[in-house]
Amino acid sequence: MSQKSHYTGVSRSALWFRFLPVFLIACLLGLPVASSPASAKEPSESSLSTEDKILELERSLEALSGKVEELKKVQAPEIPSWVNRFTLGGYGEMHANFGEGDAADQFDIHRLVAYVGYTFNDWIRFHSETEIEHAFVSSESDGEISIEQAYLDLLLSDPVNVRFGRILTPIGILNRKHEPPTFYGVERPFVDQVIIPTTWSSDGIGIFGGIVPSLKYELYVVSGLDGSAFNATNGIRGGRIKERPSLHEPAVTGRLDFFPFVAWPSGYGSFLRLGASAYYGGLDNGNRGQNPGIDADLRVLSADFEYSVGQIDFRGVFAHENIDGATRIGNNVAEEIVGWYLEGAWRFFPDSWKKGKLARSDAAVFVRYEDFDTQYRMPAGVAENPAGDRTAWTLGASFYLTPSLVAKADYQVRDDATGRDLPDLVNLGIGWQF
Amino acid sequence: MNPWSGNRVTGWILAFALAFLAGIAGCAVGRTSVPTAEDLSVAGVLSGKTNVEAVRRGRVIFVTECGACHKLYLPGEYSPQEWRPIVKRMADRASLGTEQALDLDMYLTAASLAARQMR
Ligand code: HEC
Repeated sequence: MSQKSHYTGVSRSALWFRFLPVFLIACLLGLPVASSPASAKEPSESSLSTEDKILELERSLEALSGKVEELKKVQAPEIPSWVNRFTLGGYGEMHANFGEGDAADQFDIHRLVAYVGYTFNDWIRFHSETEIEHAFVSSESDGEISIEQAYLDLLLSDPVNVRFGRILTPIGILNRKHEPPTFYGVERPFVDQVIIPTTWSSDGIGIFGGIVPSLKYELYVVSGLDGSAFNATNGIRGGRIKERPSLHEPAVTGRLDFFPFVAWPSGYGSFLRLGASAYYGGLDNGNRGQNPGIDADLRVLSADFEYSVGQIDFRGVFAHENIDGATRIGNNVAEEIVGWYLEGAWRFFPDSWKKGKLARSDAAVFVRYEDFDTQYRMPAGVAENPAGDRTAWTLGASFYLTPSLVAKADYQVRDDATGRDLPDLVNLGIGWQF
Repeated sequence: MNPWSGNRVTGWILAFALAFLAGIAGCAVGRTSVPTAEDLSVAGVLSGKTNVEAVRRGRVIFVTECGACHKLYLPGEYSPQEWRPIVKRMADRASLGTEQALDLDMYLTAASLAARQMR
């Protein structure tokens, strides 16, 4: 049913209503109804007996009340006034991080993000996210103000829509879905910091839509990374360009998401998504068009999934990066970088506790294992830095006061190939989205 | 590091344990908690006049768009009255067209009713 027919549906039944009393009275008085508009369309009706007409009327009344019920369910959303066209929102997280031994203990207003969206009309939307990190920005601090996303969506048809502006590079899970209530653990997973450098924004243009109902895609041409800022232990993270990225060697990136519960509706569980993503581009890019003169390419291939069944949530990510020309970059940059993680959580909050102030609350415990190596395969003649080869266990709990506000605590045990004893970490945090 | 050394072995054990748990949870829970248009029709929450095709489309939108920024909130977690303003808000956030929002609203209204009936 198209949107138009909802509206014509409204006016048709309104007409019916208007003529209904006339029709009823005419029938009750046993008067000829040839002049009523309904019978004008169906002249044969005048030959019906009075009983038949009453029956007919009863039937159309029934149909009408069905129609009214349906309309109640399908009321068109009101046309937005100027103010209604804005969508405001945001998310934020505050953390307390404690390290074993003499590792730093700190309080961190890690992120405060403002979301502003605007509906130009029913097919043009604007979305933006502006972020302040670590609460204070100066030339000496780590703090930063940055635009994470700012893009226009042109909604053309189910299979093809256009997106333009600063987007979130569509790799992995956290890079696109990083509001604190949506992931377990206080800090983002290490794989999502080091291997897929969340938040990784890219500037460009692309298309997105559904190939078939169960398969969605996104495909973009975007500004590339700066290969000269790659290194041994943070991999490609330093290569993100946040100000005025060069368009010298653009990259192509995209993803596919498959939803088995659309293709096979009677699957086990409530949510299952299988995703695959890729990124390919040159690395001779810098800020403000100042290119570092790097002759190398980056290829990223990644797969991820999210699965919820009953009270259990699973997710996992795998990413492999290939840097062709790593020798020419230097910095002990590897030719291949690999990382993956797997996480399981149990939402144990019983329904009988969901009362009063806790009516919409929830709680979960989770465990995550991460294995990642920024020095996975080295160029000939370059020695591996064993600090790049790491694993991490995170055990923790989340308590949702309400669906969009969460308190979290976790414990992290890390290990690397140097044989050093890395301090364990304890993290506490609250996070929200609105 | 040798891929089968200490910590890594435990990682693989976790992988298998999680897969095992998923299997058990899957079998215990049974069919999907996101009913199809056909399920809703059987549950008797669609009036004879409801456009079943629209309900079907609404389910596709729900499954593919509504888990993108947070967990998938299930239809039964909110009443039909509670869903309406949420759908309107989320349609803007999720860049849904007007028709898609109407289909989604129709689906969630019916699926929420069905979930409430079963309680
Ligand atoms: C672009 C991101 C985004 C998408 C896509 C999205 N949501 Fe949301 N959703 C949010 C944010 C942000 C909140 C918290 C603020 C709020 O409630 O508006 C939220 C909250 C919710 C809540 C909790 C409301 C409450 O307070 O109890 C429900 C239910 C919900 N969304 C349903 C949906 C449905 C159904 C869809 C499918 C159209 C959807 N969401 C798609 C961003 C999104």
